[in-house]
Formats: sequence, C-alpha cells, structure tokens
Amino acid sequence: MRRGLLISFFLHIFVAFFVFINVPESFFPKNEVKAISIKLVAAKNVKKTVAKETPKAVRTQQSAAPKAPPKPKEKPKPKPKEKPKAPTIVKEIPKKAPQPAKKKIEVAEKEPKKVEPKKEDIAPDSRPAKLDKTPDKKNVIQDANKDATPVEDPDDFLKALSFIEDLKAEESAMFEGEKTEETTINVAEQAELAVLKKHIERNWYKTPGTKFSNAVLLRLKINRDGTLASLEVIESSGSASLDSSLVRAARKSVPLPIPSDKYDLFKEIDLYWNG
Amino acid sequence: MKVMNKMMQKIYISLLALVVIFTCANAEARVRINLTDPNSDPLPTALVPFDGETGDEQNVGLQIRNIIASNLQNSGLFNVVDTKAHLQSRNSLRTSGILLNEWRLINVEAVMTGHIEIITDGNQQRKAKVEFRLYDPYGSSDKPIIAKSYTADINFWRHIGHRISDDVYTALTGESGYFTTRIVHIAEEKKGDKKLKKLCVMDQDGGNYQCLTDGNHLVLTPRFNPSMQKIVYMSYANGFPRLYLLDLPTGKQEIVGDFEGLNSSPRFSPDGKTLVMTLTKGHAGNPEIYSMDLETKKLKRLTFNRGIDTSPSFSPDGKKIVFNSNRGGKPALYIMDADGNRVKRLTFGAGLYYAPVWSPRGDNIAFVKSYKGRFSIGVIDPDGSEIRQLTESFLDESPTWAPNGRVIIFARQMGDQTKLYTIDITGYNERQLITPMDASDPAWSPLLK
Repeated sequence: MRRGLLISFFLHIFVAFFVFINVPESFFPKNEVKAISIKLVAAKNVKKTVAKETPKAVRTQQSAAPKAPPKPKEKPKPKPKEKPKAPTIVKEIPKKAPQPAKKKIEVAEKEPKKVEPKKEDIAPDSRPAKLDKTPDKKNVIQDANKDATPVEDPDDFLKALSFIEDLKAEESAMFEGEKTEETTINVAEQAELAVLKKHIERNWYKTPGTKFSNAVLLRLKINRDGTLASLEVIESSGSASLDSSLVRAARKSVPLPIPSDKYDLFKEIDLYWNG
Repeated sequence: MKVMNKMMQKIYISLLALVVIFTCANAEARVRINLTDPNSDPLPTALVPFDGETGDEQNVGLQIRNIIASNLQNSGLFNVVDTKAHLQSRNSLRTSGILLNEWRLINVEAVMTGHIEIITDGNQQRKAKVEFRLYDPYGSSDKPIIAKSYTADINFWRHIGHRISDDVYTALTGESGYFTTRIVHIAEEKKGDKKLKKLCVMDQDGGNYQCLTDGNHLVLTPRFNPSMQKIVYMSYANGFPRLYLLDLPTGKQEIVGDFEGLNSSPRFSPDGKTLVMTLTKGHAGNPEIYSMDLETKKLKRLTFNRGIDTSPSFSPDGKKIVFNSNRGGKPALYIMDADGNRVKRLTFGAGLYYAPVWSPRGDNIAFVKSYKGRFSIGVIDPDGSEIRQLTESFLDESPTWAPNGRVIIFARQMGDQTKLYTIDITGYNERQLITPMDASDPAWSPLLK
C-alpha cells in the first residue's frame, strides 16, 4: 500500500512538474517562428552601415591614443589578461610592440585619404616616444600611470585595439558574407573588398526577372595589374544568359581595383550569386 | 604495448586528419565576394540599322531595326542606345567587320549588326532577305552569339522585325520572347450615341490592326486557341449570349453550342482540344463550369455547387483549372483538377477576387482584386504562398498573359475611356498600348510559329 501511495505521489509530482514547466514552454515559442524572415531584410541594411562606420572608429581610437581613457568599457578585457601574463610578456614587448604599431599606421594611411596629413602629424609625436621607451618597462608604466590611470601600458592599449579590430573585422566579414581564412581580413581590407564588390555589381547587368535562378559561382584569377589571368564558371546557374552576364561583368570590371601591396590576398576571387 | 600501439595509431590518424583539414583549408584561401545588388538598369544594347546596297534596302533596313528597337525598349529590359552614339561607322563595318573595342567604349553589353537584300523572284514577288548577328563586346572571341537570316515577302517586314526581336530577347535573357504575337480584343467605336463593339486583332505592338466583326452585335471575352487559328468569343448575334468559334484562315463562324441561359467565359485547354466555359442551363440560372470536347461536342459538368462558379482557366499542363466562385460567401479563387475533383480554395483575406488566368509558364496566376472600391491586377503562386499586387486604379480588369509568362496586358477604365495597358510581372514598366479606338477584354495569342 505504502509503495503504491508513494509511487502515485511521485507520479503526481512528476506530472505536475511536466505540466507547469515543460508543456507551456513547448506551447509558447510556436508563435514566434515567423519573426525570423522579417528581421533578415533589415539586417542587411544595418550591416552595410556597420561596415562603413568601422574605419571611423579606428581613426578616433588612434588619434585619441593619448586621450584614451574615455573608453572604459573595453579596458576590463585586456586588464585581467595582462596582469597574470605581465612577467612573461615583458621580454617580448620590444619585439612585438612595433609590429602592431606599424600595422595600424598602414591601415590609417590607406583607408581615409582625407585624414592622412593629420595622422602624419600625430604619429611622430605620440608613437615613437612611447615605442622608444618600451624597452624600459618601468618608465613606460610610470608614464602611463601619470598620464591616465586606466591605461597602464601603451602596448597593452594597442593590443586591446587590435583585439577589437579583429573582432570587428570578423563580425563584419561574417555579416557581409565575405568569408576568408580566419581573421586574415581586417577592417581596411574589408573596405577594399566592399569597393571591389560595388565595382563589379555596378558592371553586372543581371538578366532580370529570372525568378528561380540557381546560384552562380565564378572564379577569377587576377594578375598584378588587376587584369584577369583566368576566369572559370565553377557553379553554373543552368541559364547560359545569366552565367554569361556575370562573365561579362567580370571582364567589364577590368582592371579590378586591387591594392598592389595586397595582391596575395586578392589574387583569387570567387564571385558568388545566391540565386 | 598493444594498448600503446593502438593509442599511437589513433593519435597518428587524428594528426593525419588534422593535416588534411589544414591543407584543404589553405587550398580554399581565396576571397569570396557575395554579390547581392546587381545593376538593375535595362541592358544597354546597340542595334545597327541593317545595311543594304540600295537606298530602298537601307530604308527598309532602318525600319526593321526601329521595330526591333521599340520592341526591346518597350519590354523594359533593354536600353537601346541612340544610333548617333555608335562609334563604328557603316563604312568601317563594311570594310573591317565589327571592332568590339569600339563598342566597349560606349558601354553596350550587346551589339546587333545585319544586312538586308531585296530580291525580286520569278513571279515578280519582292522578297526581303534579312540576316543579323548579335555580338557580346566582352566575349572571349569575335564570333557572334547568334547569327540568323530570314527571307519573307517584303510586305511582312514588320514580322521579320518581330522574329529578330524574339531571337535577341531570348539570347540575352534566356527566356522565350513574345514579340511575334497578336492581341485580340474588343474595340469600342462611338458612332453618334451608339457604341459599336467590334472584335479586333493587332500585333503585340499595335501594328497590323484589323477588325473581324462589324459591331452590329455585342461581343465579349475573345480567346485564342493554342494554334492561333481560332478565336472563341461570346456574342449576342442571335439575341442570346452564346459562344462562337471563329476560324481565322477561312473567316467561318460557328456556334459552339446553343445552350439555354447564359453561355460565357470560354477558354481553350492548352492542347486546344477542349473548351471550358460557364453555362446556366438546367439549374435555375446558377452558373456552373462545363468542359466540352470540341471534336465530339460532348459536354461535361465540372462544378456542382449552389454558389456561382465561373471564369475557368487551365494550367499550362492541362491538369488543373483555376476558377472563380462565391461558394465561400464572397468571390474568391479556387483550384480543381481538370475533371472537377479536389477543389481547393486559393485566395483568402480581404477583398474580392475575380477573373483568374493561369500563366503560360505555370508559376503564377493573374487575377483582378476589388477592395474598398478600387480594382487591381495581382499575381499569386498556384500554391497560394506568394501574392503580389501589380497595379491599382479606379477599374483594372481582364488580365491576360504574354506567352512567356513575363508580361500581363489588361484593360483600364479611366473616365469614359477604356484602354489597354501592359505591365511586367515584377510590377515595373507599366505603359499604355496605343490603339486606334477604346479597347477592352484583351487576349494575348501564343507565340507564332
């Protein structure tokens, strides 16, 4: 008897638990299914603006390097990493430090043409001074502490920046759907890709109205001067006129606007149209 | 040891797999650009007037070129550049053939050149021999994409122009053209107080206008059969609304079936052997849909409902029929099998739906929708999934499809005038089709073979 009671008691609890917690959950989310398709449309527009804005963000961070403090949100991330690693990193600093710095200067020079002169002015003032001091860890840290308490080490600050940059590049790469190896594409290259995309799209008179067209994949191999070395339809849409319209666009887009120093990145390009 | 060996093996294999994965990944190290926003402007195209030896030939050549130009331009998909912009001259074309880089300079995506010759044969019949070539200025070679020639009586020069238009259209869009087609419609002529309604036919661009009836009787809803040899229409010729079949080559008219009550909204099946229509015979004036075998004249009733069932239209495979019915309380569209079974409602929601027409391509059904006193032409997927409104006005009615399922022609009433309009199924490129008289009830013919 007792057993039976116990069993029925637990069964009741189990059923009650199931009804109150699991069942309502399985009922409610059904209504939300439709929201997805609507959001996608808006998201595309948002992505574009995000991609365009990123270069601005880089600019302000660099030019504002001395004033850096106004960005407290990003610091918590680098800080905890630095403290434990501090003793080991110290030795590497002189080697590593110049590299990120150079990269950033490059980025700055290429993207925003208007701002170039300003940066040249700023860079020599701020950067070399700090870079020269890097070997003397104590000085650097002290200086940083004097200037602004939140930033402890210029190298770390730069690292923090590059970390953010990478993140943004990754994000925007994901959004734009321009997929590459890991994070080999940074913000500047992202912008160059966008230029390239626009350039080709402007030249592409897509056969209009083909409602159920399949995807097309066109592979371009590119010479150093931006001309086409080869061109191959990897994936055909099944419509000869659609395929040839894309081929025409590629040929018409020559020479492709590719930065000469980044030839290795752009020497092979896949053009993809998702039907 | 065995265990160790197995462990080592496993490690070795997984390492190998890793190496393979990495090398594969490296091989994929190229930039991918996802194109999302192609140029949606009409395709810039150059059409060189057909060249000939004599002034007469050159004149006809220019006229044919202009027919092609207006066809392509009106389709909304092409931007035919002015001949004044052409860089390569007639003489240069004659002596050195086509120089594609001269055409690349003016940014055209396709160039048509051609030649015309007028021959007088033994029966003193003048014939035009027109040959044309279509080039891709960005192609890998100087060879034309297509090259064809047509020979026909010189009086059919317009027809040659339409044929070449279809070829060019197909070569560049991948869809079949619709320029070698005719449009039958009801023309309304005002004679004093009287309004005469005539059955008239014209080319798709308004040319070769010709009326088939004199306008003494009211005529309505003309439809072509698939071979374009016959027109079925509704007429009050004997005082009652009856259906007539007009044989175009002979001009012979015959009554389809003298059934009691209203005989209306006829339409051919895709194979031209059966006719679907609405009859009220024998069921107290309630319109029902019937099909009739044109050879045996056997009648078959397809709908059995107390509501009004009308406006049947076959799917291009002939297996289904879309029709209009108010069995659900208000006029809506329904689809049934060609034998009348498996009726399924297609349209729901606000508004009243009429006059469904299945696209020849099969992927859309055009209809008239009336909502809050305004009328619009719309298209819906046959599975009811996607519905789009293309036009809206005080009164839009009678949609009909171009044979390639890409353009819809419909009648629009504005004030006391009714005119024909065309619109692309994308909803763009709405334009009026100029007719000498008011026109309504259009029906597009199949492509002339």
